[in-house]
Amino acid sequence: MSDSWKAALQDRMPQDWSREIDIFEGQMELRRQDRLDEKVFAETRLRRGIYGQRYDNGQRHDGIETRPLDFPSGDLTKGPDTMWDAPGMQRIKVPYGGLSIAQMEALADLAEEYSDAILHVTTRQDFQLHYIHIDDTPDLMRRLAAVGLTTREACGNSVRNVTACPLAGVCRDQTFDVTPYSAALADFLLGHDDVQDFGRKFKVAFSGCEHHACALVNMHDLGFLARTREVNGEIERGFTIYVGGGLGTVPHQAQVLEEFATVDEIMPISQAVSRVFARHGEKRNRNRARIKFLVASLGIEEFRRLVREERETLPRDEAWTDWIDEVPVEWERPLRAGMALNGSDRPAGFDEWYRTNVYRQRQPGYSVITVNLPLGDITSWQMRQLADIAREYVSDNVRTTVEQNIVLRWVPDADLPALFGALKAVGLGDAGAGTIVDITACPGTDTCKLGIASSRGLAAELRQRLAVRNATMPDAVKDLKIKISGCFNSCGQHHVADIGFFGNSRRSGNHKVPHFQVVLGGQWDENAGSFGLAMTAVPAKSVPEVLDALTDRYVAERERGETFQSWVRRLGRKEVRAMFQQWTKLPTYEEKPDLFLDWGDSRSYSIGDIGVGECAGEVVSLFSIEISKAESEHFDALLALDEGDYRQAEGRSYQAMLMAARALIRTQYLDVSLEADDIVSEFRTRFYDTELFFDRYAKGKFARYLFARYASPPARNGEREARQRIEEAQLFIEATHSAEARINGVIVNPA
Amino acid sequence: MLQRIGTKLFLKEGCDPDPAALIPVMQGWIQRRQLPGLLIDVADYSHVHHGPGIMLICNEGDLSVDFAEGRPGILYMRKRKHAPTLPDGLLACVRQCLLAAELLQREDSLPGLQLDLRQTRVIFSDRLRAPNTPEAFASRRGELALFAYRLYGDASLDQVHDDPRENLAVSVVAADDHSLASLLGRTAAASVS
Repeated sequence: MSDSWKAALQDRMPQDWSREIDIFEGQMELRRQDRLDEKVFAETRLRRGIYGQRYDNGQRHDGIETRPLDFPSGDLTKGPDTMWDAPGMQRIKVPYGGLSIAQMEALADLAEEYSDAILHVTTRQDFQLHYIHIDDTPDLMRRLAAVGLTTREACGNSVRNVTACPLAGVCRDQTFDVTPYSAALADFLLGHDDVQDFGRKFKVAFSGCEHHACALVNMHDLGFLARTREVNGEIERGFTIYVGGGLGTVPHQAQVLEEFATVDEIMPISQAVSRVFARHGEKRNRNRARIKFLVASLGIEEFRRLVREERETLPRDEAWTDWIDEVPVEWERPLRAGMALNGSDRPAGFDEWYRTNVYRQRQPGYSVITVNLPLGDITSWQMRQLADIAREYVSDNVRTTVEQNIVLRWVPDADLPALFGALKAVGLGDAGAGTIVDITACPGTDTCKLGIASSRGLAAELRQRLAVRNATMPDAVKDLKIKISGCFNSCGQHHVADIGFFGNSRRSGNHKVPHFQVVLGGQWDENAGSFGLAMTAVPAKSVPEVLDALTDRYVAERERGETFQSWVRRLGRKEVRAMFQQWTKLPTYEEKPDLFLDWGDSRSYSIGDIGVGECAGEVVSLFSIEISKAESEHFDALLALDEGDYRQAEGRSYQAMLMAARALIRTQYLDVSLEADDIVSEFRTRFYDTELFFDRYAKGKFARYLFARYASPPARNGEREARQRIEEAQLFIEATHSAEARINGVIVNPA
Repeated sequence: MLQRIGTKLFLKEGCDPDPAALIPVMQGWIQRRQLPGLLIDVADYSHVHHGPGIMLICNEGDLSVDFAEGRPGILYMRKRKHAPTLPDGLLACVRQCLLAAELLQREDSLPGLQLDLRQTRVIFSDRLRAPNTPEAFASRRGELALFAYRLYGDASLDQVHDDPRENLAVSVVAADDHSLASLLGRTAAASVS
């Protein structure tokens, strides 16, 4: 028996992967000896998929006070302000979401031994394990490598997991199966020299069709949409290539880079895009470093010219094409013969599950079934049971989804009742996949150090409440999608949901109140065809009531066939906001203390280290009055956007930023004028140069939105510019709220 | 050296604590530092079927009111290096469960919480050094017997699972009844920190 995983698995790991893991283990040792700089090690660690978690700075607010966490390794760090012993997260790439039974069983073991026996499916078809100690990561990686999985570049400034539609190959509407192409590109880009010098992360997706959600190419840095064309009577495969999309704090729709690229061009074009991004992309300011900003600043025509020029100079690489002849006609083979469902006994609950969780494949007699995972979580034991179910019914035809579920493909229809029974027996037979109860949520304050509010806590609460009402809910409501992020960074993809929420906070008297910004009207279909817009922020504890009010009114007022997006547009932002008004006026702590708690948390609400200052008095502050005017101006900008008056929308957004800045300045200097020159100058001197405006993670990012707009008014006033400014103003106002609370002090615990 | 070891004390049949009530209780333990070790956070996994329930994340190991196999119990899984011998390490794990049980039983929000103290489940979460095989169980039997003797006196040992993919788990069943106080006394010298 071997006494180490390294020895035990030596012959089962790809040699280059094994060597990379050894090198990383060596770098860990160098860091322990302080012979490797912590910043360099942090990026190295991230590129191995090892990410920080909440409290890894060695401090925790326990609801009474912020206390140090005295980890045994003392001052040893694994990055700036990141303690060595602090629990971290390990992200595991699953290209196109494809999983084998051996991989499922390995993942189950790793979660049990190194984590908390929970596997979490992410919105990029990855898995995440939480509460991992960095010392355990080399063995964890070796055990993954032995089953063909890697963590390389799962985080960090590189190419993240390449995603693809989970129905690729079996979809009734697909142009062709994108699976082999996504797998080949993921393999080509992994560790490629040209993807090592990015200023930020880079996300790639493959869609087989245009009109479903598929792989959401419109919100990706680089997206591939399957196309065919006829050449000399032959059907030729290719892709429309999109570039420069992304969610994040400021969402951008992707633009078409190439209308049709043949399959032998997807690698060289990706390589050329990577080189252009590495060469011209922002490196110093990470908040403007995603490729979407480069595409927006250059314009798609100039970006395309640079990519084509780069493409011409690339030395030919056999790897671009040597895989094409090996693309199989069928990527997968069924384990069992397809057979119709007719006549089989149907167990209780089967019909509802069949309605929501079963998709009829293009291949007669087969279906895809969705295992609906609550909050994207599955236990190690359940994963082993699911592996057994896969072994019996579908073999390795298993995939993860960006909606945090798992699908089993090639299920013979006649086996569906038995398979449903098997899933029910292990707690995986919940109906409602893809409906309003199937809520997507990022980790939020549970484990993410950027989280502002509990996205998982809210998702769990809503899921529970909606599941009770599911049977009586009208279809128009059942089919809505809810997506929740713990902050403005959009990891929960709130921009592309019918009803999205992202976490923020507000102040009432001396207390902070966890809130969620309500974002309505995003589009999941059409590959994330349009983004929702923020309406107003409501207390976290009020969200269930807000949701009820919203869906009840939609059911009552919608016209025949009217979509939620259309109804929201018809209702208008003013009316939506009026509907929410009853929840936006905050009571005092004494009047309603429960409102000052977050979901699933009994502690007085706090965001990290803020709120430890002195009491600023119970009266309504001048700041509160003035910031509300900025919010009102921002709302008017939104109305102008709705009316198609982009010039006014952009201008009012800028004005809202100025008003918010002025509100903050007047907490120190009452006599500041209304002139933009004075406001920007005073704001820069008092809050930016002093870094008082900076928060722990975003630093001065949001202040620079104001400075950039002040220095350079837009050359044109189109919809894109207006939407961007509106998003920036929203984030600037949020940051101003946070800065004021941090500077002027909030008591978060009344005791 | 085996470092991922754990113990689980099952609740008596019919005891089914409300997970939501456990969150403020465990957060209170962090505030008041009521358990040994470096207590970091509380994780809520009550939404998953037969899952880890509510978990107190600590540096040395995690303590949960666990619902695996549909049998609620107090589970302590050691993650980092423990006492020099396996019996000492296991006794420290049991003691952590017992201390948690004592605290839980004082909570008004968790009425009627009772443990089946005649049985302790020992778990080895290390498939390299302790795979779930009869051979691995046999090789650890001596150390397990010593642990069982120090915890209970006379006790029997049985391997729990047949499935080689599962963790090696051993059921330790005492010949006699024991109270929480007596087991706390028998484990007084052990500690996880």
